[in-house]
Amino acid sequence: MERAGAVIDVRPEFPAFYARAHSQVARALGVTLRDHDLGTEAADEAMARCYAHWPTVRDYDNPEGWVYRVGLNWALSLRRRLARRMPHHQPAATPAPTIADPRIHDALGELDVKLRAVVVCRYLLDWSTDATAAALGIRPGTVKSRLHRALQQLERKLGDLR
Amino acid sequence: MDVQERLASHLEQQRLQLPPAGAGPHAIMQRGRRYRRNRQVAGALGMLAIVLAAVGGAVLLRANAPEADIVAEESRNERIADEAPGTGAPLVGVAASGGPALNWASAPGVLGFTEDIFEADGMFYALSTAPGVSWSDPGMQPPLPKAIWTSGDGLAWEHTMLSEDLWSSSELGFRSGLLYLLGTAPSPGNAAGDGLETRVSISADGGRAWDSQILPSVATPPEGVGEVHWVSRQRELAAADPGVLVSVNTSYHLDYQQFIPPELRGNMVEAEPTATGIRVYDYSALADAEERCARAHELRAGGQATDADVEAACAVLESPDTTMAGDQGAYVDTREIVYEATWEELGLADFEPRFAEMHLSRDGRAFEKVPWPFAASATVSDLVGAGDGFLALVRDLAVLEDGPLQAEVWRSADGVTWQQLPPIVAESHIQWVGLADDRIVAMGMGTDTADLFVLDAAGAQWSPIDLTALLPAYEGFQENWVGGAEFGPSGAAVVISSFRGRLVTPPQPQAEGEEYSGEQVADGEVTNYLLFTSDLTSWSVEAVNELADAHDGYVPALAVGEDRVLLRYVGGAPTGTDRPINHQLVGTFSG
Repeated sequence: MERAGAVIDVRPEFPAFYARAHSQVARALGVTLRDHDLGTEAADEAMARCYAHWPTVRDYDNPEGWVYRVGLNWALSLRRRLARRMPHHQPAATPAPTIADPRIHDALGELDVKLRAVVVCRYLLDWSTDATAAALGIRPGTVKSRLHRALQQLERKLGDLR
Repeated sequence: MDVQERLASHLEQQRLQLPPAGAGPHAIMQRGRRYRRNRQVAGALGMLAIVLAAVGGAVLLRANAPEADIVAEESRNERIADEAPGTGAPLVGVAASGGPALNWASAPGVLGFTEDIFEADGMFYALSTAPGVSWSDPGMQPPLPKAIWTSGDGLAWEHTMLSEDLWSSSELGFRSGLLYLLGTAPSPGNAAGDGLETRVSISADGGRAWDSQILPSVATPPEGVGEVHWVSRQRELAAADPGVLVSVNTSYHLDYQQFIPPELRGNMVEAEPTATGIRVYDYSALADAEERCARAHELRAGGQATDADVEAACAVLESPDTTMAGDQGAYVDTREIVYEATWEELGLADFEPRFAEMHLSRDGRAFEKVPWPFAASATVSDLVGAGDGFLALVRDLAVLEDGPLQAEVWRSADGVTWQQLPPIVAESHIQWVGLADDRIVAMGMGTDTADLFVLDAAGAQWSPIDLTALLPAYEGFQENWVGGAEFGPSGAAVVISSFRGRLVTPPQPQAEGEEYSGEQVADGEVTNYLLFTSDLTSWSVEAVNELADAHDGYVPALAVGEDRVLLRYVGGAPTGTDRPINHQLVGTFSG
């Protein structure tokens, strides 16, 4: 699923799917994780697992959603393991090369990662509620609920900054 | 600007920044294969442990024991017989070695990502990326610069760059001296949303000059309903004696939220399309309960909650209402329908979001729209010219969602009247269909199954031929998967990639949250085998890696000509290097 005006060919072979989806998912994971290098690594890892499961994943309505969720789970798991092994270590996250709206960027950063994932799926990847729910493995109502809470928190934060 | 607009604007700016460069498809596919075989090894060892426990350790491991193969084969035949409708159990065909000897020649590869490749009138033609273009280059976004490549011998190639407005083309065909390109017009890279029409371009000089025409499609963007969010499209082109046939499946996706009545709008309300109009859902009733249930699942995954905690948190959601099929399994749909309307009630009587169309040119020049012969919800995923007619591989998503992995095969003598062939009962996804030795054949993509399905002369029954039986015997661990299949005038060619390794260590314990350990648990590598037959009985088997003096790798392009087979192989050098090496190999045979 792509942005406004885009035309996509469905059920591609893996290299074509990689070309279409990798940068999109890597960027989305970078925003979700607040770390673009980690987002790219997570997208690579998820793409490799996608290839391992390709005969099945290629028939999903939204294979990008599968890749996004696997990448997100992998990255969060990696962070948890690092946190347990090095509890006082704060990894240096690599932000996006330029930040369009620093206040929104900061406010997004204060959201719980679960809320941020829903925001990214709905607003950056432009997925529907159902597609977001399927991608994140949660129910559609939970998507709406988390999005509602995320927007409330963003409004509150931006209001504080006015 | 409200927070939603500001958020969307910020994220759009982030989206437009240079895409991050990943490891590239070659490295990712190598890693994926490692995961696949590790998973297989771990699964095999797990199953072995269960068997050993069940028989008190009295079973000795004999990988690929003949007895085991016989039992498995009998079991598979019984299952196929149980599942196959109509005429009883199809016989599993016998694949024998002793096929045509191929004389091989190779050259450094020049083709990049190849979308179509075939031989016609003694020449090879390919639609491929332009010289030097790589998917993994930073900033490279599809559509990529493309070229038409031609070669007399399959080793030395010349290219003609396609103009930018033809980069969107993904299908190439040939008939009566004319080349055909199928794509959109203009390029889908034009984000204005007008790249929605289907265009056929025809060249009489091997791809240097093109005459283009927009197909007489009615799959036009809907008007008066706001912005089209995105469009999905599957296009196929086939050339055969009766003409040139094009199939196009198009779906338009709109901003359906605009149809929500103002008094119902809110953050917890959303509109979705139905077959006849829209339906508006209110998610607020049980959203908090869903959140608590989702949280309980997450806590349990982290070892901080028990099954009982999850059951308690989720109990309120288990009322036997409408269930929805998610990839986590069926779950209760807790949305409340608050509004429904047909397109007509919304003042959009002629609105049509989905189109399935076929266009036929009998003279190879002028195309006309012909009736869509399949279910309205069906998509043609492969369309091939088969001598004096056409074959189509048709997938109906409505059927796929509920049933086994079936693809329908249809054939037509004129591109207008179609006949459905008997269903194929396969353990893999059928991906390729064609004509070989005057028989209709089909091949699936799957792991550890490599059955070529051959339709009998009466057109009544498919018989699978197990091609893995042709691979050299191996006593250690192995896993096979089909990497490609092509059918042409001289026969059928199938690539089977086989990972073979020695079990050297037990699988490492998996780290929390990791699907696979990622550790190397088997010592070995991938060999890509080309299997070729001209009579569907006798097969020749070639280890592509040995022909190219390379290791691992894969075969991304394959073509079967009049008396030769061409393949593109990407593998690693024997001395070991991270840089994959591109080869072109041509095997010529006589008789």
